[in-house]
Amino acid sequence: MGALGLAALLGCRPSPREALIGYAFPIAITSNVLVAQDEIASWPAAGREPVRIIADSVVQGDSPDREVQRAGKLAALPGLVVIVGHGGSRGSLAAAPVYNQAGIPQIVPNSTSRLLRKAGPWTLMLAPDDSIEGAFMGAFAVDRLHVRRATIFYINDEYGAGLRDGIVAALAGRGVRILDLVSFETQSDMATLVAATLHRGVPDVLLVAGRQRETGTIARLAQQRVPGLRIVAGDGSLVLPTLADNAGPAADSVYVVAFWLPDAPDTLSRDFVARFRRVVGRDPQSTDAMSHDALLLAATAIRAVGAKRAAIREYLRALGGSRPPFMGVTGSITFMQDRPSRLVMAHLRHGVPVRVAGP
Amino acid sequence: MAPRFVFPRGISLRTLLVLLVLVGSVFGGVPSLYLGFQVGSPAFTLGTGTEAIVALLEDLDRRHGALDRSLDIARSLVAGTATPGAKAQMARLAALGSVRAAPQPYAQVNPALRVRLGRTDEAMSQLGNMLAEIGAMVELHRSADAHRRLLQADSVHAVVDAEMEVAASLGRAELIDRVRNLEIAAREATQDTALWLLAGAALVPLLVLVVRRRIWQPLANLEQGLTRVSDGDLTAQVPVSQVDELSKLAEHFNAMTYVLRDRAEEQGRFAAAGELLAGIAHEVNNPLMAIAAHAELRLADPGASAEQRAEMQQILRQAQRATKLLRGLLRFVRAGERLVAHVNLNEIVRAALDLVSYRFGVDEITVSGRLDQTLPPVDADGNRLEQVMVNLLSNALDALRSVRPPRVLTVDSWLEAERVHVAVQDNGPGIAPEIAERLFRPFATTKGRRGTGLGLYISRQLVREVGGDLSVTSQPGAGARFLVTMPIGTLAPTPTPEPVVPAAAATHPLAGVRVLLVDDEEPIRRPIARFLARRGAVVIEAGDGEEALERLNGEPVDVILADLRMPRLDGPGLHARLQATQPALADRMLFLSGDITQLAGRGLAPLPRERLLVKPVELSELQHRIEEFLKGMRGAGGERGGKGGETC
Repeated sequence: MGALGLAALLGCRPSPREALIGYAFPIAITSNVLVAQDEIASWPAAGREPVRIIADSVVQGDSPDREVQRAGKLAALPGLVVIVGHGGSRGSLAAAPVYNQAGIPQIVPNSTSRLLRKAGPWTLMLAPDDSIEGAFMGAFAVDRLHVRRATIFYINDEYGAGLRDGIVAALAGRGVRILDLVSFETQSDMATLVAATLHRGVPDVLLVAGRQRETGTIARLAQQRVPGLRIVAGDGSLVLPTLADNAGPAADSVYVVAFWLPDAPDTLSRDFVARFRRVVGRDPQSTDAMSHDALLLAATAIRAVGAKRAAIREYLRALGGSRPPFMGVTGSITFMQDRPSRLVMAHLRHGVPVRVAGP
Repeated sequence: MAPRFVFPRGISLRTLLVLLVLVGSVFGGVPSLYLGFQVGSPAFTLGTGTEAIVALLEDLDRRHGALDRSLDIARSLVAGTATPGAKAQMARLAALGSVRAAPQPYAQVNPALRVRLGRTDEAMSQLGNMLAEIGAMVELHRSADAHRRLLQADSVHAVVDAEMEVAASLGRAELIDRVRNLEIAAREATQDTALWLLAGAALVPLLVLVVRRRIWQPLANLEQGLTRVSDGDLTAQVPVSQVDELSKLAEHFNAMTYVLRDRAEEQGRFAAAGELLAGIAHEVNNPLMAIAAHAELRLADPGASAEQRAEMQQILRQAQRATKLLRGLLRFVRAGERLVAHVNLNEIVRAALDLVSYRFGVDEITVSGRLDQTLPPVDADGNRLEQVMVNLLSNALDALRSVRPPRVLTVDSWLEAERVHVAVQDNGPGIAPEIAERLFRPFATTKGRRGTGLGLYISRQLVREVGGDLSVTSQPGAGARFLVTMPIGTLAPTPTPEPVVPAAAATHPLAGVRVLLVDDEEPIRRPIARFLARRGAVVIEAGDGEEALERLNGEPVDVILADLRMPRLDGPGLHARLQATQPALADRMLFLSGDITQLAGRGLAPLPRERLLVKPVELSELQHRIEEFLKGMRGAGGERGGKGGETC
């Protein structure tokens, strides 16, 4: 599976006076650590402890056992005061008890499983949960695509199952008939599954709660059988160009949920895009923006209240209450119950996500 | 010989008590902390571990059951023996078995079990998806593919079964291990607690010994010493064996009893001196009265020459001066019960000055000052105020003796802010500030062994008892000034005794009055008898009580004038005999005494004051008192006696 390695991207050993932010993500998303560190380095020195990001990266999402091990190693690091991660709902859920037991606030940037809300008091979700995302997808399918029949493909893990339930609940309330609920995993025989599903009935839309590779494959296979069939995918699919490459000719029929798009006109987004391009050499994606916000929020908390876990916990909890919300690239951030969600629906056009719904 | 525990002498009692409290707290608190760590931790681990393992295994078991049934249906589908609707049921069961019901507490189990659980979970997900694929293949009539995938599913199912078995075994083993750890911890905790209690029990005698030696015994000694002092034993001493607070208390106690003993001895000497003084005063009064009486008689003699009259006048004046001095001394040393009345402080000051005046000439002291003649009276016991004034004057005289002349004693009185003020000032050496601070405390003295250290303390108490105050201002080298302030009196004024009418107003004012004069001292009796006879009285003389009783046989008398002290039968004895035999005569008795303070002790109290005459008495006053007494008897309709009079 993933190659586990504790890689301190910006140095070898933590200094005793440094405040550490742990970053546990697949290797594909570690580039934004460089961007975040670049931005933190540009801050004026304020007499506080220097902030350093320790990245623990893997190639891909790992088993719960490995996630627990990673969490244990990170939590044992002296000076570690906050965690950003892990990648994916399953990994975040598996690691949450370790961090909560150690009193380390865990900021989860991209995971949407509603189960994370119950994972512990110090597991804080940055993204809206799957019920909100499912409702958003359902509303888009009905209101913008005017569908009456739908089939749902979902990956067989906490992310897929959660989003499936969110979509089902949203469609059920809008009178859409669900023809089939099909689970898959990374090694599933997609061709057979898609063929059998479409054999049972042809929907107006395929709603897919999966990752970029499987979603692209499902889209391509479905369009081969039903040309013009539209595919609405969850945020887990928005990794480009993998999604578009796997979808092939069907890519332009794919709509995908994003938390942020690089075409956002606000100043913070423009600065972030510019910085990302300068440091990494490409445009940032939705997951990059979310991770960036999580890392900068953690660094800001350390700057504000010092390198104390308890103080940082209180700082994060107070956002939007006794403290103003944190203004991130993806919008204003709080961890209150009634915080606003800023979901975007993007349409792939020539491999590029174009905003078609949302702020 | 058994070794004796010696507690470090340098540790104070406060430190010892803190140490004891600390030891007690540690002894009581350590088992709780120890049990918390020793047993609480494995118990908590067992609790959370059991919950996690059970939750994980239950979830796997639920999924395993669903996948088993789904696999059975898949077999029947592939074999073509499935019932309608079986495919949909298989899909539902496969979906049910593919996913977890809730987030799994992987972090609460050990790594080996966690790995097995993860593998089982993955295998189940894989099996669930295979079953979904089999359903799809059957639906697409790809029987051969479905058959191959079924074989693969069977293999994965076998893996699931094996992993499940290992996971369940590991889970059980982990639970048993945790239970065993808890048992071991509980057993060790029991043993350790028992050892701890035994160690504590072994320490108890030591603690008892320390408490007994350092607290119990010293307190008992102090209590015993205080009891002895309260019983009047001023020789009580408390042993001092340590260097701590209780030992300091014991040292103070010993010093206090020493001072008390010293002062008591001194007070005893003063009391004895007072008694002696009273006795001497009585004995001196008789000759003084004889001298004064003879002088008065001679003065009344028309045949005496002018020179003789001047000499007699001088003798009478000196006798009266000595009388005044003796009365003042007696009053001073025999202050009885407190009697608050209207008192003029000027008179008190004058009386006190009289008492100490003998020192003015000897010590070359000039008395100055101004007494406000309009000074209102105060409510106080005159005798006690006189004691205060004498004390202040004596102190001033002592201070003046230590400086060279001119020595000036200034006494002023005035009214200010509704309070009466009396200041006694001297131009002596003054009082040092550090001594002035404690001057009014008990046993503070500047006179060394000569002083009791109680004079000013008692003086201030006496003044404060009647709402006044006593203070001092002094500059070293510039003398001292003691100030008495008192509120203006609010009591009804004490009736002033009517002035004695001069005996010369009538030639025979006692004409026909029969007086039995009983006194064993002829030098006194004779001039009195002659004086009374010259005033017209019929005087019958007797040398003592017995003789007086003989004279009374058949002899009518109007007044019996008897001395207190007489041989054979004294005045009180005579009174008692008359009360028993002739009560009417007992009521006609007037008493002569050198010391009225002794009356209570001689069985005559309570007697009306108007029936007491204090020696030496001037003959003119004696005549007046007899006349008043007779008037009183007549006013009472012949019933003689002092009904309704003030008693003493």
